[in-house]
Amino acid sequence: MMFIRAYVFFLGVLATLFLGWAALTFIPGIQIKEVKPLPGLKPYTEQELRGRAIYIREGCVYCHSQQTRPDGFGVDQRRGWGRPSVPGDYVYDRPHLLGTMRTGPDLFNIGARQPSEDWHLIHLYNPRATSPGSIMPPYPWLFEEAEEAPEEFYRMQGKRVVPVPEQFRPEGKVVIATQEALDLVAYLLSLNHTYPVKAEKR
Amino acid sequence: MSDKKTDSRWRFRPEEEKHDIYSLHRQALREPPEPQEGLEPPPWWLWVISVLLIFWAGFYLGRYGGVFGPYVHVLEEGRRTERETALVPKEPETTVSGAEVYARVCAACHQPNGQGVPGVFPPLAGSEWVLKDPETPILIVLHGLQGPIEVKGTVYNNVMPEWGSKLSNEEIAAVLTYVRNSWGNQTAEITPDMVEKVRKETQERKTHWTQEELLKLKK
Amino acid sequence: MKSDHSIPGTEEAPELSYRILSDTSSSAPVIVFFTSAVVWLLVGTVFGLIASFKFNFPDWLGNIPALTFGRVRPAHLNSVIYGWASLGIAGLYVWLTARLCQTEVHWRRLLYISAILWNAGVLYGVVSILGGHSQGIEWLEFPKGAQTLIAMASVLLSLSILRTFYGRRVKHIYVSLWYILASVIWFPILYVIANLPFYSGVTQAAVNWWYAHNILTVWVTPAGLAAAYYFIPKVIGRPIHSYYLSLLGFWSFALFYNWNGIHHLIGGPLPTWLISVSIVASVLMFIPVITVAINHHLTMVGHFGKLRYSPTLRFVVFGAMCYTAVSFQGSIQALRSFNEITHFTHYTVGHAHLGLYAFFTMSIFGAIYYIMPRLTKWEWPYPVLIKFHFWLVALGITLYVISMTVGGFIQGLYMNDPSRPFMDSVQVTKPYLMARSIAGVVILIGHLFFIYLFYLMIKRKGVKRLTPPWYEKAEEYAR
Repeated sequence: MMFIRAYVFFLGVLATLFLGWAALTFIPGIQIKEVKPLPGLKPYTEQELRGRAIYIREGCVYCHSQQTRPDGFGVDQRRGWGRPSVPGDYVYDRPHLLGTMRTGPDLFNIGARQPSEDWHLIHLYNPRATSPGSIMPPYPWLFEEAEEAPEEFYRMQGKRVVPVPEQFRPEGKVVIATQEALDLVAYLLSLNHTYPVKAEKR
Repeated sequence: MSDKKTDSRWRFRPEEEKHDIYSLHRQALREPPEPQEGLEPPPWWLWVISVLLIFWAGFYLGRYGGVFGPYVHVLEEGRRTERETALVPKEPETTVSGAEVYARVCAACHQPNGQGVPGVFPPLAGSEWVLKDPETPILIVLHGLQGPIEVKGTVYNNVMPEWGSKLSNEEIAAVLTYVRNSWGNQTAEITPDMVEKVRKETQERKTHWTQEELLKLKK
Repeated sequence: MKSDHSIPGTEEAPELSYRILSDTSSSAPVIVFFTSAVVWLLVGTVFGLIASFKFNFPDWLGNIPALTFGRVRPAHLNSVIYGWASLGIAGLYVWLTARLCQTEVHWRRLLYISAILWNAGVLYGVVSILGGHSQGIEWLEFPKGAQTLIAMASVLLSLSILRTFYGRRVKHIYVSLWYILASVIWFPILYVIANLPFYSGVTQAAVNWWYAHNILTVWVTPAGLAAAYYFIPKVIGRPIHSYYLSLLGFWSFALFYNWNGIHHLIGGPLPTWLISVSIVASVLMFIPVITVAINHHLTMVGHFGKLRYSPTLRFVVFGAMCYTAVSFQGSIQALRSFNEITHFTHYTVGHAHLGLYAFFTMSIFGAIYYIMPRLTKWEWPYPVLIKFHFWLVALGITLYVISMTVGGFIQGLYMNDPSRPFMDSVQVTKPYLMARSIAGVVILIGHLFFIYLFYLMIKRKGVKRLTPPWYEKAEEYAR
């Protein structure tokens, strides 16, 4: 009768998993470990890390990638999303946020492409205020509403009034960014990988 | 883990069964026997497909294996020795499309239809700043703009970033020509040479313009 | 072989008494697993539907942080994978192992503990995600605590199944059991390795997608295949076509499938050879898939008429066909030239649902339709509802996959056309996203029928029937 000896079977099963693990994660892990952070890459500041945690909390990664492909494979560069990304760009990323969906545009260089803080704040408060037709959800809980008053009044208290267009904010109210919103925008603005890549020589 | 006691609880004890055995286990008893395996040989063409696929795999890994080093984006270069070139962005294309630059740089704020966002980002369609003379829009794009500015009778108060370090003369010329000839705008073209000239003249400038400065420059 | 349990009338066929023995002993734990799986199915479907409608109406529920898209989507994924799929798989494995080993289920207490830990882990994890405590790594969003609970639960499940296997009364190990044994060994190891806290940057991305794809390799696909390998020959009452094909199919599957993961990062910042290796492994998946397809088809051939009267066969064969389809699609999708278009689009979402729903979930439905009457000694009370269930989910998932595939492909073409603004690639998907939401509603209605039937089964309510659904048709067919 044909039957596989059980222990041969179990060894085989363990071996296949081990092979895949070694080839796909262990060996590349060792190869990539040798990669140093690129000279132009700055570690995240405290505030940017707080913003990054909000990026993770709100699940931005499910619609936005942070990886750009080389010319000849997609048109990322012609869209102005920046040079192809390399392992040295991600050394400070933990967890990684490469993303695999582009329901919205790539954000690898959003800080360079859209450096306006106001734009980001308005966009987070209601994406359709800056980008008509967008299907991005709004994040009103990153903002506070306050009685309408001249901007100076709030600026004196150290508050940041967001210039949301009138038809997108509650009547007679102004929108004030919370610290969380400012942190998130600080993180987005830090996504600037326009520095050059020195060719890695062997 | 001693499960003896539990097991005996579950072990089937016919003497305790009050019901007719067949009706109680109707579902299990009506089944066909447990499945067996036949001994037909695999079809010959399955082997052919498998061997062909494995050959293809070898070829593909040789072609796109990137010598199994830590190199990324080694696509077209294949086995070329100067693999590193793949990391360096290619030369920008010689012909620049103004519409493309507009879509990627300007449209986020000024909107694809050039109307801006009411009260926040000023329109470009019909804007006196875009249309009045060629130098003003070049200055604004090169160095950015800050503070209150009146466009078509409305005051906007916001910051426009500088794009001089990020866009080439060709790109600025193309996008401004596009802006000055779209959505009902119709004015003269702007050439890369004009941008180059303005860039040279103002190369010491490191800050954004304000409305007053621009008005002073162009009386 | 001689029976050591004397059931009157089975002296000549010891297999019958073993069958009753294994069903009796597996009944309670399997019902626990299946019931909690079905609860998570409902939860997962509702989350999926909310996420889908958020694409159509982005401001809907826009004020509730817990229900923002970026939290509901992982809640959906995790509750269907770790809730519905995993608990369904656990039930299937426990029942099938006992059956195929012709023995009782050993170490049953471990199974109850496993079920409790598993449910607690998923509940804790899903609530954490909604509360904003996600780890931010796709497929591994659960916080460490929830992951520990699930890891412990999966080890307990594996121990019980391996112990049952050790107590087997059969000499020959049937092919379904290969998949089950491999699966219960792979899954805990994989889950623990992927959750080790050593990784960062690009390496973490590699581990992430190696893991995410391997959930299918080690857990979901073996379960679907074990079900197909068991129920197709079982229901039609003839042997599986070829042992050699089973052998080739299993080992090529084990060898190639867990090298696939990095095809999720084609074009990304990973060593080119790594991506190429995954592409090659994905294409080599043609070998196990064609092998399994031949094996199943040649077993079925001449018996397709039986699809009319066996709900189990109907669901399982639908699943097996979709397995072939989704695997072919996956192999082609991994090629660079094709991936350039479909990467980053909804096409991938369609592919995932073709695999996880049309193949896996349908197979598990089929298995539940077969297993439940044997555990509760009650026939499915309303065959017409089974019919509704089948057609609603079959049509729903077909609409889902078609709309996502077509919509995603067009989205990819638009994205790769630099003369179009990016926003065009969003606008063009809108009607397809709406079709997807409608498909989701249809599927949810199908699930409600199923859940109602399932409830009647565990409560032994509804019409008392002495014959399985469509028994009359079966008689007719036999004539």
